Amino acid sequence: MKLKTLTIRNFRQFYGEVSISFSTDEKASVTVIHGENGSGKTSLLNAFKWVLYGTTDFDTNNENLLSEKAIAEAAPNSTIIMSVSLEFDDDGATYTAQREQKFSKGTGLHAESLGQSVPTLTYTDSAGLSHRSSNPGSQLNQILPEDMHSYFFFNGERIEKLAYNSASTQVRDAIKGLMGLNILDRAERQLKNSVVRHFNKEAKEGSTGNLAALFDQQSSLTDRIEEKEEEIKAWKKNQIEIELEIEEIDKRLDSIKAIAEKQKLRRELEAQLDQIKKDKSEESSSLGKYISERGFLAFIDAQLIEVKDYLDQMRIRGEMPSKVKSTFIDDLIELGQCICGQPLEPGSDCVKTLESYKTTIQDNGAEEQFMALFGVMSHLQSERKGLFSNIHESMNRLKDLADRRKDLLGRIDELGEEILGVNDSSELESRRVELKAKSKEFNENCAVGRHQKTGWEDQLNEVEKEIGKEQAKTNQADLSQRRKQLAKEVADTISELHEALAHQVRTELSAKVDGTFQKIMRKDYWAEIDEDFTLKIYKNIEGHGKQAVLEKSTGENQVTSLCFISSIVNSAKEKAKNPGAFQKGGIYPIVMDSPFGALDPEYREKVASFIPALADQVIVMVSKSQWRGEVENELSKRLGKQYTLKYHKPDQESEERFEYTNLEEGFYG
Amino acid sequence: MKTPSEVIKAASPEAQSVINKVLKIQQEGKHYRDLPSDLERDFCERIIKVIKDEVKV
Repeated sequence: MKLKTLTIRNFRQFYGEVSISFSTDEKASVTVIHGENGSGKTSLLNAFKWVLYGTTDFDTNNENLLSEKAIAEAAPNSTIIMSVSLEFDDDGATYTAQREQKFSKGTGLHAESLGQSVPTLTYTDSAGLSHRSSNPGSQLNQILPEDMHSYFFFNGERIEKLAYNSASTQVRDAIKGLMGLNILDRAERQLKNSVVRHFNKEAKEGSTGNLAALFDQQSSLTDRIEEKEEEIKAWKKNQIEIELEIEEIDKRLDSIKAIAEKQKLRRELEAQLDQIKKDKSEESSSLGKYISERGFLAFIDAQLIEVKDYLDQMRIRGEMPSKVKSTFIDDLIELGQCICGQPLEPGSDCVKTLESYKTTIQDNGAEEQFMALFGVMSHLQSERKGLFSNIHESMNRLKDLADRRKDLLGRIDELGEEILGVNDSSELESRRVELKAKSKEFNENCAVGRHQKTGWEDQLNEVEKEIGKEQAKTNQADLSQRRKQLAKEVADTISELHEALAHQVRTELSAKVDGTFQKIMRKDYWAEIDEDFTLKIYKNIEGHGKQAVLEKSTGENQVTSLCFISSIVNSAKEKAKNPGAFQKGGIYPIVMDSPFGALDPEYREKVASFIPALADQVIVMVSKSQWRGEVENELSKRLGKQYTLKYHKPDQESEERFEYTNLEEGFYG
Repeated sequence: MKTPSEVIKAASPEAQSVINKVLKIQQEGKHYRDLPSDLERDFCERIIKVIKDEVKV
């Protein structure tokens, strides 16, 4: 998608018709729109959202979008038209999206909307043929999905949230959406639900008796598993939203001086608690694995003794062949008496005869086997001793982790009480406590739900085994069964493919984000997108190794988020140039409102230098103070066009009684 | 973790053939966050046909 022209009519402070052409030049890909606070930069950003999706980010959403001046100047009962039109290129076609809202002028400054806003979409395809879309909303959503919109059209001062831990779902959705992985999710769901159910039904219709009952059980279990999956998803989503709110509360608590230290300590303790949770889970899992592999040793003590005694007896009796006899001969000579009762004097003929047997005895392999078995018996006995000591050690570690957890929970609880007792933070802390309880409840629901689901999945496996035995009684049932099996294999493979692709994309993107991040950050930090798709920043602490950076400034969070957005846009662009079998990528612009506000000069310079290099088209809205200096120096190297928003404030004594904004090409700052 | 191509190679030839066709169908709806219900039905029916064509006897 490459933006060409935006035309606004009577939208917010833009009175009459205002048109902006964006630079589409590859080498001069930046369009800068200058404007002071309140001049309409945010309105311009929202004009994109309104024309594409019919919504805005204003607190009042679509109320009060119509220009006050347009209302004031309209004749009573006349119709006022508000519209936004956006011309853009995408995938070889040129599109014009337009949205129009009509109003009827009422009394004073009141105008009533006449129905819903109406979107239209016309386009000229690569063959030069013109079309008018019959489903403009849906088609626009295909070109730039609404939920992806905020990655390309954003308020720079509000994007820091992407760097929060709780934004992992957003990060994962963005990666999947832009890399085209969502289709794998969908394919897997359709195969597992509708397609498998279809073949189940077909198989059931073609069968009778026991098989039909088994298919009923199978369908019922499949439905219960799906329902539980949906429930778990909803709980997880609620939990993520709650975690996001908690992080926002934490940010606000961080800024309260009276409790800043306590809040910092609590964060550290909570991070330690998370680590303990992970360690406990790893320890339990490795203990479980160890017991399942070696646990049998606990129950074979009597057998070990019995077998070892038996082998000893065999050796003493000389029943083992070859070298066992040779040992037996040595024993007899040492004993000084033969089994027939004759004494065996050293150097006597009898002893010489016995010793001569040793040289003629051939090893037939039994000796080796015997010795090996003998060795295994001894080894198992020592392994058995090790089993108890290892289990004991592991249990001690688990107990230690449980003690540390209990201690941390107590300290976190106490800190919470102290924060609650401070006037400025009391309300926020109460809300935090409430949210934490809800989050815990959803987490428990998820755990119980997953447990139930696993039980049903086990039952389903059993039923499917039974079906396997019963099937093939009718041809149709057999055929449907085979088709169902193929559908399941395809679904499972797609699921695995999805995981593998997500891992690959995540790894590549993580490296790209880090590359950009390290160029911009002056601290010795590095960025990673971890396995949970959380964008994390790390540092090295001597003696402690890799440590997550928990406390970042607003500016650092903003830089992190900008690195992520520009890297993902760049990855999508690269994939669009070299599409693979499963990922297509795409060309996306970046439209940023005030992205330099919270940054210091060094970061401004680097953001202005590196971010535009990654995207095909960048539109930046800046105030004079954000533009001057390092931003101007850097962006001027890629500058294609620039405009200035001229705000006209109301002046009761002149004719200008209502505010409006004009747009002028160039910058006259 | 297996690479995407290793995952595909490990599947049966029938599954590989169906996966390619299924993903081609899904490409048509790649930009929808929520697939409209008529398109969802259409996709499912087409996938069923792909599988039926693959397993005939």
